[in-house]
Amino acid sequence: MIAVAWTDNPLENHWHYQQVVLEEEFYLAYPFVFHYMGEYFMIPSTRDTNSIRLYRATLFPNRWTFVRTLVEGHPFVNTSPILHEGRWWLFTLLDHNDNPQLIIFYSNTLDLLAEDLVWKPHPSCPCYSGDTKRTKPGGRPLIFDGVIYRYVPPVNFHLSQSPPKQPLPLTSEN
Amino acid sequence: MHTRVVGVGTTLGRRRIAWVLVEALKRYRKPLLTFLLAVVILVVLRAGYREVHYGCRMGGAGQWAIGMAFGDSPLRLEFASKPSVTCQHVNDVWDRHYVSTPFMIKGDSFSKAESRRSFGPEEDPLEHPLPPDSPSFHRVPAKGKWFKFFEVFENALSSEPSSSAANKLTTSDKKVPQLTRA
Repeated sequence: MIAVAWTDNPLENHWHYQQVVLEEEFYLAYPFVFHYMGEYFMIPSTRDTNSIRLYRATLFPNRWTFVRTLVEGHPFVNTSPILHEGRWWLFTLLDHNDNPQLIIFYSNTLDLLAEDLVWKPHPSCPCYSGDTKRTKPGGRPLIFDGVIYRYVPPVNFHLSQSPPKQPLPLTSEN
Repeated sequence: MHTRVVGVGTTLGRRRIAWVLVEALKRYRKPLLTFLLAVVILVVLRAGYREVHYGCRMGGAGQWAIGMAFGDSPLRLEFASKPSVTCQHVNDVWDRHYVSTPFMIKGDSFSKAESRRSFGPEEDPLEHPLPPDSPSFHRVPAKGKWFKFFEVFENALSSEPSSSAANKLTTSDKKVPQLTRA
């Protein structure tokens, strides 16, 4: 289940717990919330449904309604969207236990509610596989100094000494 | 006359029942008190057991907390000394076990949600917009506030906590994958 807390000033780090705001029959985690065109959206991690589900706030921040399934067919975990170069991009972990893979999907339109919205897997994917220290998204991607950074969970990184993959331009071709 | 008989009979019936109850309490007072005491003890023990083994316990995942990291760059962050949200804050979930995977967002000065009334789950609010001056207009007090959404995990016995649940906003390692802009 997903809950919410609030503060007037995050620098003071004094948060007021509010309430549970979303509960489903299946397991919910990683409530990736974002704001786009006057709407609040949420893509929680819903691995058990074998899909990536989009919710919309009908009364922010307390009430959320399921809107549509974005992608289905696999156990996706920790899906993290980012708006980049006129497209939506979804970084997500395809959580096959023996071989976890980082997959990137990109959209054909910016309108998440459009009927003709289509998501295609990036042709270079899986971008990483077999190493959850690299494959699992761990927070909101950000653009800093012109570079897209993707957070990953801090799980004993010192054990992994393999060099990072060569950075590539993020386009639908490579 | 008929009504009067019924009334007398009812009164007698109530008195008889009360008498039987009183006599039963007198005769079985000790066993009844023992039974009630046992029930109370069981309830207390069960609540304690659930709190220790299911709930927000220290020494297990229940001590996980959501922290805040600050810095002058997203690549140089340090955690604040005190946690911002723990499972102790979650007061509307009995079997809460831990909290994790937080996402912050600021309440916008304008949200389409503010121009809608409260809808039931079957209704699509976009199909039934109401003007802002509608009597049922709900103004969301979100403007200027920061909100932190997070997972509340229930019932520890259904699954052991995984490392994935302990995501924290950190870039503490140079091996964070990065992609350059197109």
